[in-house]
Amino acid sequence: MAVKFLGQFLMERGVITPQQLLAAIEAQRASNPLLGELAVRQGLLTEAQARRINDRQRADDRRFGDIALEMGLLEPAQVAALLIAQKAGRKLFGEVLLEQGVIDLGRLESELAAHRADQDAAQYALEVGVADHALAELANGAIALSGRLFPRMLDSQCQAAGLLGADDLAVWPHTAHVRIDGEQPMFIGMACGPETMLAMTCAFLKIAPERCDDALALDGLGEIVNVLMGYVVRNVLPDDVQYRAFPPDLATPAAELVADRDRSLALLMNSQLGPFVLLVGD
Amino acid sequence: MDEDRFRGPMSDTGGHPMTARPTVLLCDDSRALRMLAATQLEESGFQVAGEARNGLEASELYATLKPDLVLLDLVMPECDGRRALATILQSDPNARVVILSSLGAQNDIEECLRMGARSYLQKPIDPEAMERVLRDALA
Repeated sequence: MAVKFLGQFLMERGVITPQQLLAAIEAQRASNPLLGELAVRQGLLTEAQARRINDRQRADDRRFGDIALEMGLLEPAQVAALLIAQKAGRKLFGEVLLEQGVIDLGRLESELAAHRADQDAAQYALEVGVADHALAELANGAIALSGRLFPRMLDSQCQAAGLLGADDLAVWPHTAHVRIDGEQPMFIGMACGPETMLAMTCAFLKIAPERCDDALALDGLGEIVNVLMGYVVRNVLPDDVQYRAFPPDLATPAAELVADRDRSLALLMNSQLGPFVLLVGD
Repeated sequence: MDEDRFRGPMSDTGGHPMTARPTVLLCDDSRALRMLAATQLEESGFQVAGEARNGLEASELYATLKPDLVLLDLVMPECDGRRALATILQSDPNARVVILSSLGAQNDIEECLRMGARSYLQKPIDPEAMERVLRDALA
């Protein structure tokens, strides 16, 4: 049982095909523009200006509108109007499926109810599994930061889907983790399959897959974890804490990292680039 | 596929400051980061003179290339950024070194600045911030 995006849920139940899923995702993305895309469409920003703001967003982890205001590229009234327009035009995934004739309303409603029940149960199991753990604060912080960073760094949503044990990790062959030692030692890592690793690195570097070999993909995963760890450290640790950081480790398998369940957690995450495991520990 | 570019001297500017395209020695153990930073540097009007994977290569390439600027990651294997900074500044007290870090502890960054680094940049790199910081370091 795991928290899943609606599309993934429907596909796994055989309600839609993978092709229908992809088509719906593309249609939804086109109808749910990012604030920057909307601003460019309306002629309020040039593409170069929107890119500048996106670059700043990656580094600063702040909202597009706030950065645009600070840079003097948009007025408050323009940001407000864009947010209203963005919300008004937004289509839910189910709505897209209806429009595309993939599913009828009655079936959609019953599947939505099943998805909701499944989500609630999975979310509860995840929360209970994490809440009592010694690393609950770190885990929840890492999940929240991933949720903020992924759209900005990788143009992808991500969400926590469940808890895994060390025995579940053999199917995630590529692992990168970053460790810090000192007053509050910890590590953050990510494990994934080759397709997800390639997709993430290509999104991070903004390059086509043909330009990314396996070594670069793994290295890119390490750099993504490096950035995530930087945010975790700045958000979780006090400013004056003493620690020593290490370069990303690309060799230690995920199962070995989380062998001690009392001192580590493996969190299954779903993303639009593919599933991955977020590893936290001390 | 992009292999490690500029693994050695690509150009020798003779250390001339304020050239039309200021030269940068890029030092980071991550090939992905070097690739990303190199693109951003070139688009911002800099020329990547060379790339180093660790502090030892950074010190050696600095002596060979004499770049206008050094972008130096703090956390690297074999020889970290702080040691490389010390070596570079010992050989050239006027070296313009900007520290790059995602994990630099505040005291590490402060120490590098006290040692003589001109500034520092946090990862992920904001290209506009990088250009501003590097051009300020040139001034």
